[in-house]
Amino acid sequence: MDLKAVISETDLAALQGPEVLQPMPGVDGGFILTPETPDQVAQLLHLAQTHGSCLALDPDDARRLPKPVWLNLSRMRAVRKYRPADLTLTVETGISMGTLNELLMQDSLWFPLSYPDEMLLSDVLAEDTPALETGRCGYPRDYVLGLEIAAPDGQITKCGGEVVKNVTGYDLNKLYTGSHHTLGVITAATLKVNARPERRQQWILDVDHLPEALDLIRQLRDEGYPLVRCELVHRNRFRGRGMFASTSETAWVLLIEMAGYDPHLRQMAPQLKKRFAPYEKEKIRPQHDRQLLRFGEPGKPLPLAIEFAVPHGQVAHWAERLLQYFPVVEHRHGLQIRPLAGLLWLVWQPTDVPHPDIVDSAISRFSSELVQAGGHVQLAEFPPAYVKLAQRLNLPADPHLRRLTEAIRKRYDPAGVLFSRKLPMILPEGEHHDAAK
Amino acid sequence: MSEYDIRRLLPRLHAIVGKRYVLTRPEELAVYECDGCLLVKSPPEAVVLPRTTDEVAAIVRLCIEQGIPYTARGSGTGLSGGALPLEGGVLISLNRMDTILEIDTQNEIATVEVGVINGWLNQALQDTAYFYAPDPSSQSACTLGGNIAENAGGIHCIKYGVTTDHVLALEVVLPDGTVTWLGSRNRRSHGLNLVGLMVGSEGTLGIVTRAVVRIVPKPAEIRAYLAAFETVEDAGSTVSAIIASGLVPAALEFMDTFTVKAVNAAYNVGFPETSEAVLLIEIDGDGVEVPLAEKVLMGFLESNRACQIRSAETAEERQQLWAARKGAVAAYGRYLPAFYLHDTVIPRSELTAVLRQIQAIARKYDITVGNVFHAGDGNLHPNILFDPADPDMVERILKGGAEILKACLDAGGTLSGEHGIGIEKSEYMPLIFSEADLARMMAIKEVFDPRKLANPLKIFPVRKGCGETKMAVDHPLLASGGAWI
Repeated sequence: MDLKAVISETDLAALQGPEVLQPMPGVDGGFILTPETPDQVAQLLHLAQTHGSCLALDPDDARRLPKPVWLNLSRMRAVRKYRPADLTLTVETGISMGTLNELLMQDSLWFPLSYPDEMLLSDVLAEDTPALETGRCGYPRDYVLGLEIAAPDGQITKCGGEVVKNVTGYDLNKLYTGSHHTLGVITAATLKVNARPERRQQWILDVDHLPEALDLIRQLRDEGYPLVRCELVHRNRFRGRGMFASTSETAWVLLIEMAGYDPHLRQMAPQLKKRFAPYEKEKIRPQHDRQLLRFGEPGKPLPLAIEFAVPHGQVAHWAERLLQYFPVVEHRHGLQIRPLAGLLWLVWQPTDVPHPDIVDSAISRFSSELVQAGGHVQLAEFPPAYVKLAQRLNLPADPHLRRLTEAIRKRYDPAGVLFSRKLPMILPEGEHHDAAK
Repeated sequence: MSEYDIRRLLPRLHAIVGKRYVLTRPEELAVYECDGCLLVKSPPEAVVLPRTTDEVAAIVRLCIEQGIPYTARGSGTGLSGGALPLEGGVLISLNRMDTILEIDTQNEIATVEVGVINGWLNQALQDTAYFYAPDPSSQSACTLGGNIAENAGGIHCIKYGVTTDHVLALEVVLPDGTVTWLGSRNRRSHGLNLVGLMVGSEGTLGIVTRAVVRIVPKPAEIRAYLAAFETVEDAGSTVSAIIASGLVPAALEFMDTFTVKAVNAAYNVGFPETSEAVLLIEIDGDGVEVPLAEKVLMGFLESNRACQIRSAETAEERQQLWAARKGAVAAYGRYLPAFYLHDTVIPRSELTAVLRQIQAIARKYDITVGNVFHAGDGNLHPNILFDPADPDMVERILKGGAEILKACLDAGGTLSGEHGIGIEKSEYMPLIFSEADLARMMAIKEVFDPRKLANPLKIFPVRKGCGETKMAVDHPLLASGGAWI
């Protein structure tokens, strides 16, 4: 049933005005719900549950629904409690990461995982999105102390607390973070934040060969340099987009950031300058962060980004294996590697995305090899044709885990109100909440 | 009372693990009737000591078939009654599953069976450049499985994180008797984060049999200090200043005067007794970073009027300092035979105010409270000493304990930072969570364990009042033993 059809004027009045409901630009019959409070979110979810509707918190997910409804939390951005002395902050999750960091900057604090300024905390928590700093600083879930959740049954619940250490009951923070809002909508979060490092310094290096770059990173790490970011990018990753354009002919670009006490970094500077001299040809540009973290552009056709999580001491091995399976030139894709986190992404721009069958057979072979070694593969971003592959890859292959995952989802969202294409419901063929049906 | 007859099942248990590893004699079962939480006892009907995951799974399947509750247990050092077989049934002791299966320094992981003692892993890592960071004070005795079940912390968790931050993957015998692995050898989640859910679930969602844990590089340099303060306020301000500055010490521990005296008497370590509070602080890092951090730290100690600062000059001195800290609770035994312990966590900026409230509550009820705790995390451990043979004192410590707990919660705190809820704090859960909040957690239990046989009656409130606890307090076991915090 169309949610819009059942939201009466009375319902809207209860939700404090028509601002809550707007048409979704460029999507026939689609609309955006922009609640201002968690109560409104809960009411909307309950309405959807009552009337058998589906919602999505990501516009690209919403577009895939037969009746596109995008639940946009961006008006829900209140700062509820901020305790700089305790390094904790409770905010509604519609706050953008840029606004969050502006607030923290006033007290020389920061959320140590950086994301594009316009990205909402809600999105970061939904995906437990790895940041450029993840190898050193961890994942968003590591900073979640407590959560407030609006559930499809219309209730608002909480888990965790406001303190930095907590074993009071099941750790539902871990379950919700990374659940793509499929167990309930994360409406507020208490986060642990950090003091800003005194000094940060970045380098962009041009490297000819992958092993050379990985060896350099390993050496820096073993020697105890305070590496915060290490990102290794094949130039094909941003082909035709003007990034990392250089007179250099090298295949790889290595971005490095170190952070720490100012005197510490200053003391290291001369050694590093000497060490990096053979590679240093680029200047850092601020848009790099954003481009490295987002695989697609909002409102544009979706690229294909396949994420490989490997034991981080084996990055070199798996990068080489990947290049054997997917030779970069032949398939017109790029490889991006976050060595300290053991993460690798193969990325095809929207115009270059191959037919799913081509990728499917190669990925299936690669995936079973990687799973044997203790890693896993999932689709980080993908166009509609890749839905079936996502259903296979984005959930664990183990039938026991699939059963548990499905059972938890059914307990928390029995009517299947909350839709995410990246964490699809496991239902019998033909019953997926997906336009493909 | 249970409806099955455990005696009829013994031949089948013998067939699974061998007769030698099934204990049923009362004197054998008595060993397992409580853990480090001495408030309640409840003996199992049988103790089974499996050696393999398959044996654990077979025991669980037998329990399912017969409707027998089962509880997994490591070394029994837990402080919240998490390993207590409250409904009797079968207690599955995992101590024989004690093999370190793999140490992989290239990938910075270790794979262990859960009966491995926490300290053994660090002994095995001694000749490498790595260590396993979670270090509960019981690390010489507690198992990694117990640490995982309770999401144990420790002195160095302020910098390195608690157990959940170090667990990558778990082999689990699910409550339907199947065996599966959760997680992978990379921290990136894949689907719902069931590893994060399983850690700290106190054996109520399944029995963890193997774990892949992270090991971390040993710091090149470590320095430890003792700073004494004339007032709790000065010590509290120092903690707040350190935390707010972004300096992340490897350890930041608090001891009050009573504890300092107890420790001196027990271990002759010569900690300053005239001050009201002592902080034990450790910083680590590389050869450049540590002197810089030390300079920052000394600035805070001086500006907050530390009246005495001592540095542990050698590794031996440092070990002695931490041994005294870890042995603090045992040292209380010189004064009274038992203790009642809370494990609350409060916002760190509230430390001073809450400590003053604890002192006032102690005076009000005429009870002795020793404070030794993880100040850097705001994780308080008020140890209320008592004599179980004195009913009036027992009454007063229970009342005082409840008031201390309330003071911590009123300050924005929570019930437990590292000991878990078990049975000891389950009745307090509604003070923190609404019915709907708890229903979300209980839904998880129902998904994993619809038969409610896996470590029943833990975490969630089931009793109507504290009568059961009060009765248990009378048990002579209260007069024995100590605990680590």
